[in-house]
Amino acid sequence: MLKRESALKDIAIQVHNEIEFEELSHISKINLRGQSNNKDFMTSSRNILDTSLPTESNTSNVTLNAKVIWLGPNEWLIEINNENKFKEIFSKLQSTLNPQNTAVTDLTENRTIIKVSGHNLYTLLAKFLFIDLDKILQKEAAVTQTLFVKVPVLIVRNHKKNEISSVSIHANRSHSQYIYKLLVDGSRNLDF
Amino acid sequence: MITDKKISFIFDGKKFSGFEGDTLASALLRNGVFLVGRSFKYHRPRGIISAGSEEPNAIVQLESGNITEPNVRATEIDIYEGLSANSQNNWPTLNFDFGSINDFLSPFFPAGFYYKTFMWPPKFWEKYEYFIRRAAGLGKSPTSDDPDKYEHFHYHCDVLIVGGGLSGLYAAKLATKTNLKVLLLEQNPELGGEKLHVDHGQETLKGSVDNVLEKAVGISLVDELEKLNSSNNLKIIKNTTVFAYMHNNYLLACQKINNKNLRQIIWKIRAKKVVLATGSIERFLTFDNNDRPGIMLANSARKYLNHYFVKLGKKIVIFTNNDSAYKTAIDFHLNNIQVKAIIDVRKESKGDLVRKAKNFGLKIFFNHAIINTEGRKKINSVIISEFNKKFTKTIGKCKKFSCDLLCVSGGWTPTVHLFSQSRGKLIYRESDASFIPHQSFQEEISIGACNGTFALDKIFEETYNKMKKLLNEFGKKTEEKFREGVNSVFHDNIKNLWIVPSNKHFGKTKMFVDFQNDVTAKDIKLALKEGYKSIEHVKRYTTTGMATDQGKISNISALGIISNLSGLPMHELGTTTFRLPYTPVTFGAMAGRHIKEFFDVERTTPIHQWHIDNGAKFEDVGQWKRAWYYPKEKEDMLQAVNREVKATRDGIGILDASTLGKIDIKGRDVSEFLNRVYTNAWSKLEIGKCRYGLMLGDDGMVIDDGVTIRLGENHYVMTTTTGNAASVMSKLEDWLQTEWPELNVYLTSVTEQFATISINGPYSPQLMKKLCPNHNFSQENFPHMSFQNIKIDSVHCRIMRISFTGEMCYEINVPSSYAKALWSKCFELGQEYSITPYGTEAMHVLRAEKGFIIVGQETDGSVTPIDLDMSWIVSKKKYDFIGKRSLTRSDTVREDRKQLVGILTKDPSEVLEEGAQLVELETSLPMPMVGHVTSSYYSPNLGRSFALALVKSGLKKKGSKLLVPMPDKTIEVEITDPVFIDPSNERLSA
Repeated sequence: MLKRESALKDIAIQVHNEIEFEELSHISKINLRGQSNNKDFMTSSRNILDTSLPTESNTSNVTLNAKVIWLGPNEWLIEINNENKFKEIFSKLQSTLNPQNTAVTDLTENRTIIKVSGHNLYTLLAKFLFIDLDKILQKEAAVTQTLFVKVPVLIVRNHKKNEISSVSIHANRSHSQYIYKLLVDGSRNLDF
Repeated sequence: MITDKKISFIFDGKKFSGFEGDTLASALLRNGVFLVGRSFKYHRPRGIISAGSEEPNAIVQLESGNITEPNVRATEIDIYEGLSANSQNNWPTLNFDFGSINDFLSPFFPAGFYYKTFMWPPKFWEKYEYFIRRAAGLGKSPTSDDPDKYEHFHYHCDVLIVGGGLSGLYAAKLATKTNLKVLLLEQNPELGGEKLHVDHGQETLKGSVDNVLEKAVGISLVDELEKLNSSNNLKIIKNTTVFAYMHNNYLLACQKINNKNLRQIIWKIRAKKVVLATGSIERFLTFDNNDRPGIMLANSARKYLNHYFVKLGKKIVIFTNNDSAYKTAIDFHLNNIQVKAIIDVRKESKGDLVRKAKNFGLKIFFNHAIINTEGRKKINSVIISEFNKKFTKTIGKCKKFSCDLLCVSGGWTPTVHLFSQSRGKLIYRESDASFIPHQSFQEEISIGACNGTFALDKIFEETYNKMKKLLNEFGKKTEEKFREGVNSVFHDNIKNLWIVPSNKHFGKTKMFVDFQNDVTAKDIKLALKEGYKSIEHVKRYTTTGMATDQGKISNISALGIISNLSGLPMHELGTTTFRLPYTPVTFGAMAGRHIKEFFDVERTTPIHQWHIDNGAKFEDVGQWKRAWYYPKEKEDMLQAVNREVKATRDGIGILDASTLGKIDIKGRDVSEFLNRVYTNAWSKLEIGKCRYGLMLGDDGMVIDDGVTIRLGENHYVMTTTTGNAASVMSKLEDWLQTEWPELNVYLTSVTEQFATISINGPYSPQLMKKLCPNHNFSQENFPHMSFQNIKIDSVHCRIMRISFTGEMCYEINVPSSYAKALWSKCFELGQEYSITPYGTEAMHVLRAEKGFIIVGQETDGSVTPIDLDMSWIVSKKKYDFIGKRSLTRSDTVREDRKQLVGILTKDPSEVLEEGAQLVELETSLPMPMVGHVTSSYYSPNLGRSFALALVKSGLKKKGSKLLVPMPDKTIEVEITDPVFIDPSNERLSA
């Protein structure tokens, strides 16, 4: 049997200067394309996902089985942390949605998710991100697509109000080592 | 703040001690060290002039070894235990510098000396250059890696306030109380600015001459702000200099930390509004021998006295053209330091400060000026003279005063550098010869001295009114009431005097304007005499204002002198450009952590670790680290590549091709979409088949190529070149969204969903059979240019029969997380066929042997498919595709365009250089170039070298000879067909 290896298989969970890093490995991901003004598409998707596709920019909806993330006016990312459920949802989306005007693509392997948590998380991230984190990730379940140094990333806020800050950074698998090493290196000086 | 804690430090190898809170400059002065450096050009002895970032003389080499930093201003270095600094630009010692001979030879080094002297004879330039470059520059860069750490930090705020003087503090208080997010940056270690630390530095106040209320106001503001600093919406950062103001209120600041874990931080700030409260800089006066150690700006001398408690001398003389220097005189007098004389160029002054000075019994010489000074390494006397009514000639007898300190004040220049960097417009104010902010270009306001407002009551009034308006724009109202009741004494009585006349011939004077670059008034006069009129030209010719201090002290004086001599009014003359950085920034700070392994972004394939483990050498392709070749013991690159190439043709070669771009294309109109972006037709491609495509730009030039496969009626996957993956995706989206919105097509990058393992060579079917024993890999069942979805060990893979080597080839697209395991399995099963991993270099040789192009190597943005002899891929039937119209332009159908051909050297061991030019056998000067080599290799399969080239009308010239002129020889070559191996493609299905 071929052995499956995630991009950051060696890190598992690591703590550096009170910042916790964890690779959320092998989480299934579906890229969904379709027009949000297409009622059939929106209704069918909602029925399959148990939640509507978010239409407000930089937001996400979370259900028991899936996290649905807004990527653009006609594009969503669906994260599913259960392989059987993924197969079921993927299959339903493919069979239900009209292939003429929608696209359902498995992107499980395309991106690596690094979960980063800690009190000084935003200080750490501000070393690499030029966006205004306080403003853009102000709301719960907020998401943003930006550049991490020069690397395109998707960032999802995990924490709720009064919880320790936590985000998931989605990056190309090929960039994940570089980003992880930068984050660990950046966690050295956080008290300013 | 100075404490009583002693700190030891070393300057020029000698041990000294200062106090915590001292700068290197104040500590040296405390120890009586006035001579701190040598001037750049004439090696004249130089001392500390100022107490801030404007310092032009006290430039030192800080520390040694790999942490050394050249050209640091001693006025900005806070001393610490063990600090070590050295003076610059002298040999063998600061006290005895051989270079000082230049001072005596100075008549031979006028402005433009280099331009005039080193032009002739032209062939000597290389010799001159060697010596000029050795003589140029100050200080030494470290020669090994800097072990210190630097950070970059992004920060967003509503209001950024630059400057923690009283105006900045007041603005910060007003903004903070409205709950806006406020950032206050101060370049010094303490808030309060000049008003607090110079005017009222002493606890006893015995040295201060201004209103006691000013101190109370200052202290209370600092206290309030320090308390607010712990609130959520105000952040105060000290020791931080804003050095750049760029577009969209994006500013850069450098914070000095100076601990072992962190040396400096670059703050990258985006502010909705910027409040500039950057203060002002005192001017110098231009008189003969005005550069001796012990001559200092009056206000700086006062800061050393009041803030650092350094008594700089026992007998001082003041030279001024305004009231402010009287503060210095009075403070020194109150500290029991003898003020020998106040030399004032004005006829009189009725200001309060002058009146106070008179009341203290200080001796004032109005209508007088200093016309010369004496003392080689420290001033010991000044010579003064009275002047005529027009202040053009000395009258009466000269007087001489002995002294050990001369304090000079030429008025005040608003610090408008950041305002000017922000593209704000300045206006000239005649009354005090100042350029002040006139019209903002960005969301910015200037307040206080940097806006030309000097009196504290006026500063508060201006700050209150401007901040009220600024806060209104945020929809906020300040609940603070205007702070009244501070009546400041201010020097508004100034006589602008740009050159102090001398009783010597002007040509024999040494009146320094720009201290750091040794530019004198005489140099400026010479530049004007030689025809330079624009300030920008004079600046470059004389180098005034072009040193690391950017002429903070000298610029306005230089302008004044030019105005005086040329007769052009100052407002017509304008100013030079204020360029960033405001103060020098180290390369370490600019680089931050982006050095070594973080220097550039790296992308690695899922198989990367295997390549490392097996000794691969890597090359950068875009951001990707690709295995270049795998040398075995003692093999050089050529030997390794030859082995890999041969093994692939004779057995099995295996390549990690995961970096190729992959775009999943779905939707109703996908075939039509591909018809438009590629030159060939796609509608009839069968499901399960692959097709090669060429993509052109609007201009008909090749921009990308690759194989696209059809997975379903409405579903394709396109492959792009590694380097162009992102740009192709972007272009496709661009066309879809802007040109063809009617097409129902969705693009999704799946580059990293699959890794690609390319198995090449005559034994590749056998390996595939071992990988998938139950699958039929016969030619009939799995022909070239088709693909099949096959499970390998229960993992769904997509296997394509396409080839970039001309060999039997299977490209396996495997989900990335299984790629390394599958690669290892291939390697294990392929051992009996001597499976050999090959890198990108062998890949290049293999594809070139077959005449396959690489976009970016055989093409350079000026090559059409016809130039590549690939007209077979350009559809004649399709209505349109991108670039089609351009293929019929007169230029693209020219017969003498460069066309792709093969090249063989007469000597088979001669490998041509890529990029080498080709010329005809018989030609005349100037030699026309008829083409260039695009790819060139040695082929172990051919047993000789070979190359691909673009040659004018090359397709018609096959069989003819050309020459390749190289620096040491000329190489004869023959034009051939570009396919060197298996032209009939028999190996593809052998």
